[in-house]
Amino acid sequence: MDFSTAVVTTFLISMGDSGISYDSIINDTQSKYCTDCNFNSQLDKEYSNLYTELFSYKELQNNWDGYEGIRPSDEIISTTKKFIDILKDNKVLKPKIMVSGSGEIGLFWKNQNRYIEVDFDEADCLSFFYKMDGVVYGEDDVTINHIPKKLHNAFNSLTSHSSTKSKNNSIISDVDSTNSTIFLT
Amino acid sequence: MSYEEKLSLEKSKQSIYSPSIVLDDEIIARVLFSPKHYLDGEVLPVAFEQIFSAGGMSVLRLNYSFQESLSKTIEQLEKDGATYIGYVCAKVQDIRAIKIKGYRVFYILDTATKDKLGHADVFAIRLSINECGLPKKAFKNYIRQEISQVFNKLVEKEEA
Repeated sequence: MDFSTAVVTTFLISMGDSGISYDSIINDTQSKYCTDCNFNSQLDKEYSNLYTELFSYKELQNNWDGYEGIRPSDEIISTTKKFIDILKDNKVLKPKIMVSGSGEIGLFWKNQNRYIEVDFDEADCLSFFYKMDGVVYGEDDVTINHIPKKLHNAFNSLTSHSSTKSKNNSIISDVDSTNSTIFLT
Repeated sequence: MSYEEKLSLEKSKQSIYSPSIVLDDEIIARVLFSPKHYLDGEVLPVAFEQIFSAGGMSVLRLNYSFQESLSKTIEQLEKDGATYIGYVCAKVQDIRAIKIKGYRVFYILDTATKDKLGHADVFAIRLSINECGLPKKAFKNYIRQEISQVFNKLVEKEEA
């Protein structure tokens, strides 16, 4: 390996108040900074749509789903936004978002037979479950100031299932058809 | 009501208007009234939130005057301001086959009414963490996702 041309960049991602750090190593032989700019720009664009959808829930009327559905409370919308901020700050693949008639908001990631869902039904807490190759795990009422370790591991597992090397040799995973990406950490 | 008692309800008619108990080889439809309940043609887990309500989740049986029941459902719910989007279908046997650690998590009852002979309800069976290995909310959201997987793509309004 030619170390004179290879630049090893380590991303230390601090996880809020948890004090946990995660390392992500990206081998970039071309232009790290240009790649970072493009990636962040793409990430901003994708997350922008997510925020738009989230805030649209404020406009839901009573019985919006035909089955006496209620809109999510401002606290739940705010809690979801805080967690989306954490995901974005950690460059996690953009999830899809959904809202239930009980006023609960969910985020989910789906990749073949792997599925992760994070749900918000009260202020400053989340519940999650994942199904990975037949293994199901879940936790209730976890505080949202960081990504729970099991959930973090599930994100990695989701992406490692379909990881590919990009043109610049960075370890980036193409997870779905929208070309969303997540760094392996 | 115990787990066994809930499942035993499936074996006898639950309504005087019912044409029959709900059989495994039947197909049922869930009618949707919000575009927020599907994405890219696929129904989302949140569309099945009603499985946790005391009255169950209303569905229509395709074998029993389906179009008539569908029209009445649309008429009733649109009167309250909802807008019909379409419906999604599933095989009864696929819903009954959803299990966690050997326990079924759904049962389906023939709850026909006078004007909707094909009406039925899907109910969730709550399992304890010892039975299913999941805490309450994770369990609820997990089985909601599982049932969404057995429903087919949306049959949109124009095709209905």
